Amino acid sequence: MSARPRRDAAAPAPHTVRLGDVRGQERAIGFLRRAWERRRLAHALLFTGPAGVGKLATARALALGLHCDVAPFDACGTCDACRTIVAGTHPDVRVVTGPLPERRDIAIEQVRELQRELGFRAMSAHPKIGIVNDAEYLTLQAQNALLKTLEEPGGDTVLVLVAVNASALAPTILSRCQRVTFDPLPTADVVAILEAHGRGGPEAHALAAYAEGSPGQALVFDAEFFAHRRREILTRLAAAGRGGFKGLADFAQELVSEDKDLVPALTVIASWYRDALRQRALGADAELRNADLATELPDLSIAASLRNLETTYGTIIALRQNANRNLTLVRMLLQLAS
Amino acid sequence: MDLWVEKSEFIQGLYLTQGVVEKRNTLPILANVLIESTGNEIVLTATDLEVGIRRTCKGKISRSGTVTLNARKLYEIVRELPADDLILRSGEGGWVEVIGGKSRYRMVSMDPKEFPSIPASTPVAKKAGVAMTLSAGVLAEMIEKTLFAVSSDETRLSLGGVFIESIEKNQIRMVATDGHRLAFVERQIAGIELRPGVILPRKGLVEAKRLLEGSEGDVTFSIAGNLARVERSGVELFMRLIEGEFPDYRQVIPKESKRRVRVDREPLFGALHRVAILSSERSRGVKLRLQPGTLEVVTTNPDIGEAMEEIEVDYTGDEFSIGFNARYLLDVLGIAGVTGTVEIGLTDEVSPGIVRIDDDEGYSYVVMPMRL
Repeated sequence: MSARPRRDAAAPAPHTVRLGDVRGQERAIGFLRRAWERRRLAHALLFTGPAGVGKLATARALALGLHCDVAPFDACGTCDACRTIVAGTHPDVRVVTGPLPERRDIAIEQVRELQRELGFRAMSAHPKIGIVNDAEYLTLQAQNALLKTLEEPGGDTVLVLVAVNASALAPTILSRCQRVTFDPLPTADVVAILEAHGRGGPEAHALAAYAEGSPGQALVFDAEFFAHRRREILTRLAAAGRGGFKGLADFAQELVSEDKDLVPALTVIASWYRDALRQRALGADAELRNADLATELPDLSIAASLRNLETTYGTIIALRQNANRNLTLVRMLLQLAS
Repeated sequence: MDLWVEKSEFIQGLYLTQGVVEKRNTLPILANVLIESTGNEIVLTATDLEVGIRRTCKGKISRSGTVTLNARKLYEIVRELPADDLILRSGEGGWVEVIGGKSRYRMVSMDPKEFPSIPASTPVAKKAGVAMTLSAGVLAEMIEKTLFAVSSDETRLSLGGVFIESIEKNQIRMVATDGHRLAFVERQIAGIELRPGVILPRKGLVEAKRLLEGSEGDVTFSIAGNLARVERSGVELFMRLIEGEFPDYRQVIPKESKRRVRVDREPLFGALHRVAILSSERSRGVKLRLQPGTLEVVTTNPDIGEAMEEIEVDYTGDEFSIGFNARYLLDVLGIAGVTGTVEIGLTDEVSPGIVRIDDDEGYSYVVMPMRL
């Protein structure tokens, strides 16, 4: 999918998310709980795992859990600490939510600001907490600026870095953090979360499969796109091949005019060949992303499916590099049809 | 909430919140003022999580309650209202009516529950911490004489404030440094003691200075719950303390100097100010050349030119010259209220110089020389 999920679209209205409310991350949270119980919680934590599986939610919930006096390692949701942490106005819990608008990376100024905010003595009797979301977007300078704080944060401080792609972080950062990995959720859990957000229904399973165990991704996917456009694209793809060059060119034209952002459309096409590949390799047991359209899957050899997947992903890359949309699509469709 | 308040009373409170409210607008609620009303008191609170102000106004409250309104907009509205008194009334859906004479405004209140909670200053809290009473004028002067030397280096947070401590009873010190210069002030005040010392943030002291400038008489200064507070009748300014250790400043202050120069502030300030125009933009380096009776202030900048001014001084030692950053000297000479004589103590080209002003034994300003 696209490089970064549209987090704002999925951001729920501020409400208390407790550690117990984070679904499917029992292993990671259990690890944190045991460390907390033994008073051995590290001062620098790195939460890694796929986008949208609850890393940031866990980091925020951990802040609540460490600060709520009413319900330790949980949250009462009503005390001053809970209310202000959720509202983002607790002086001892500060969050860098990601790159500033209009920027692609987390600038050193944001790190300095966090350090300044954490540079005061704690107002509460609990550790100060600094959370850096999307930490892989820290510039190298910003990472270097963070090193000192990671090494010896002033007073009692817990820093939590949240990253999908930990390999983008400098080894000096990685070596200073205790790593906590977050797993993709089982499809059934993702479906349950979609239902809890009022996004259930027949498409929920397909959405969940597309999201690869990431409820956050599933929630930012455009439901309308999945309900209608996905089926349309896949049905047209099957038909376009039979319509000769004109059919392919028309389809390319349609994609260009209908889908402003071609990446979701191409991701759908890639998923089609992925399904074909899985069905060929795994037979009836294969878990398909487009399970609802399984009967229409093309019967392709493994080599052909792989070639088509490569072609589709190559096109996504080419489009990111500003290739001519129409020509690139026609070329892709020709290759897919051959 | 439904209350009546005199405009002049209310506007004073709102005015004080203006310097404190969050300007960066990252958290909208911090741009708001919290208005709490109970009994016959209206309490206005504003904070940016670093510094806060709380002002109590008298009013008539017919229905108590709490709202938060945009501090700037409310101030502008109230300031312009052609009325002597106001009514604030909260209604359905978070709306608050501001009524003055025939003018009616409706503003949106944000949820007061999101507003940061700041422990109130209570006698109990003060008892648990440290509280002292001192004259507003003395506190303002101590801040004025140190604040300018605070470091703006973001990587050395513990230098980003003024250190305040007592070494013995009935005495209080304030120290600020940025590693190149250090300002130290000490005053004897009966009944005062603060041990161990704490670091007060720059922004908090800027606001404290603002608050104290309009005050006469005594104020209370207290430290409790990791907050420092400055209080005068009805107004409470609080600021968070900076974490970390302040460096041992005592090692830096020279005990004695081999050479002593006495000079009137006015001509020295003027000469430095003018000569600095031609100094290098970056280092602002100027050279002081001493001969018995005269001081030459010199700068040579191959790109632009050179300057020399000569002033009369009280100096009887040998010929000697030393370089300084002109800005560091101008800062201390430019302190408000400094009018008389300045004494500069120097040892050699590489040892720090020490500046005393107006024969004030309790004040020392240490400045590192530059090689020019």
